Amino acid sequence: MAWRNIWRSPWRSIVVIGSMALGVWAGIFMMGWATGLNDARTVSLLDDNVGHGRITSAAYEASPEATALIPHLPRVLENLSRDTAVTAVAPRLVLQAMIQSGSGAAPALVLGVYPEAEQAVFKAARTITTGTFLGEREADEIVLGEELARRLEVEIDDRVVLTFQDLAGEVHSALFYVVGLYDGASNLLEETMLYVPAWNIATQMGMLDSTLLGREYPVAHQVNFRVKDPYAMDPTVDNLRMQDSLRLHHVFIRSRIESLAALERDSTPLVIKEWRSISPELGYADEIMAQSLLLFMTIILLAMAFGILNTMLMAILERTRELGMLMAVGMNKRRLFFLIVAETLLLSFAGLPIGLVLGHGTLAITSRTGITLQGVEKGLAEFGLESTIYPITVPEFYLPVAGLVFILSFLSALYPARKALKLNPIESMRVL
Amino acid sequence: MALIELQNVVKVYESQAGSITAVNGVSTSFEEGEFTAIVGPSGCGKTTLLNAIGGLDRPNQGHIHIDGVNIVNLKDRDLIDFRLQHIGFVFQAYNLIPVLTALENTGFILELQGVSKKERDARAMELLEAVGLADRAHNRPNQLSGGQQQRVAVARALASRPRFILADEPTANLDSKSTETLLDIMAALNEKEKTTFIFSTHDQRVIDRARRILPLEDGQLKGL
Repeated sequence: MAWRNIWRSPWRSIVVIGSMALGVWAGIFMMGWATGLNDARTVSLLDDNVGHGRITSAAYEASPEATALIPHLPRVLENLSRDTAVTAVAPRLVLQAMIQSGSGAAPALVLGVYPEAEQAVFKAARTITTGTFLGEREADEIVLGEELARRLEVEIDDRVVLTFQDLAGEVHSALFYVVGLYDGASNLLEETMLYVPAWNIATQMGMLDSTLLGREYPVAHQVNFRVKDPYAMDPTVDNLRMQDSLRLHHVFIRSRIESLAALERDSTPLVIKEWRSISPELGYADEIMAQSLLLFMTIILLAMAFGILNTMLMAILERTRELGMLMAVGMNKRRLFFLIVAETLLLSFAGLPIGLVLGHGTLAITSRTGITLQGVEKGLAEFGLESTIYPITVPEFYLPVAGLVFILSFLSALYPARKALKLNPIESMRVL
Repeated sequence: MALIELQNVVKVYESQAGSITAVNGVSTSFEEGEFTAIVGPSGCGKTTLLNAIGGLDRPNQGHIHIDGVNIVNLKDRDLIDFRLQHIGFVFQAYNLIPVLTALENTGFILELQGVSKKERDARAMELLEAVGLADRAHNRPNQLSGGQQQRVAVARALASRPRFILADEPTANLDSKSTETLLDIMAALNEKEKTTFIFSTHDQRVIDRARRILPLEDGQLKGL
């Protein structure tokens, strides 16, 4: 009976069902679009400088000291190379230092990198805007962010001095020639992060001895890696954690330095992190995005709910006489309430699947074709994004959206139902 | 014991113009199987009295006993249920549910009572046959004439085998042929099923067919 009642005013119901379908479609499309945009931004930042995953020693994790090297690097790399999900690895040294030029000084985060490996994992190392990236493994070369170069007023071939503590705790200064400037994802990164060859800085720090010289990657504080799908990272990380050899098998870096000898003794375990842990704000961004999208959807559906409430109120006004008769012949209030609620829910739920199917279809198509935004390429590039955005289907939102539709349409049924319940049978039947 | 017993029933309506006593101290009783017309001019209180008997309106004073139950004292919820189980209504304007077929309208009270579809369809069909509308069972009200709609309304009122049927001006909107047909049907049902009918009317054709007449004037029964 509720379903038949809906079709008493077919056009009115079609308009309501259509607007619900349209609202859900728009909401779902917006969710897919925003998720696509956010994912593209996340992937771009991961590519740029975060990486998909990172291995450090537990000691480095606890306190990022220069001495806290990865204790069994060859085995770590061997394990990573065996993992089919991992597509590239980049060991790095990471040091705090001061950088000085003729016209200024600044604190800096020095990345001692193995150039080809670094470029395979990180986009920042590939987006050299002036000059080249690092070349020979032990050269006195340095690559700065554009922003830092501007601040220090240095150009290609200029000299800068890095001042840092070596492993023995002695303050050490070294001269480098600027060979390139990179364009990073953010100005903050460009201002602080700079690249020097790992071999060079390791030598200067006193990390290398003759036994390490034959290795491709002798020392590292971090091993960064890329995987095929950063959104399917948890299994990859778990898989790595399961490999006993990483945790239990100890290959120690030989060293004359006392502190490294200490590290040898305590067989430090490793810490493997995926990008959400490395850069929690990216993970939060995903969560905030998901919640904001549901909030937007709630607002859209709230507007719909008022439309439905209005429609139901009109329906009740038109049927006052009939509702009076129903009560007169013995329909109790509970049944009347359920009749109104059922009509409201049917009205809402008739539009929901149409909206979901349309939304899913639109996302499925545009996720392949992409949507190119004209005229905002520069703004998008600032965020590290291409001008073509690929929305993605968001089936994880469909159930919450259905739940929202249910709750809001139930709520919008309450007022009309209350109106109906308050009708007096005799007075209602006098209405013409 | 009488089927319905009214003791000093008074109904007063308050309005801005002052209070109007629509029913003023009516005491009477109705026996099972009656075919009674409450008659009188417009505004004499017929409908108010009928509403009070049907439990649609509470009197300000007096008692109304139906099968010994004083319905004046029933709670709202119990009164709705009492109406559903014991009283059949036929309204002046038919008041069928436009989205339901004649068969579904006839079985509607049974549906509210929780009777299975099979059972209520069988009973509804039986009644539609009795009112001569078996061939229109699957038509909706807008496909039926006024007289046919009122016959469906009578069938609906009878479906649950109520203790009595209250019909408020049932022929007011009908032409003379339809009125005759309807009265024939109601008289036949009264004879055959011993259904008690109480009408409110000022239609002479109904008054002529009634076996008992209760004249109402200014809210009071006259000539008793």
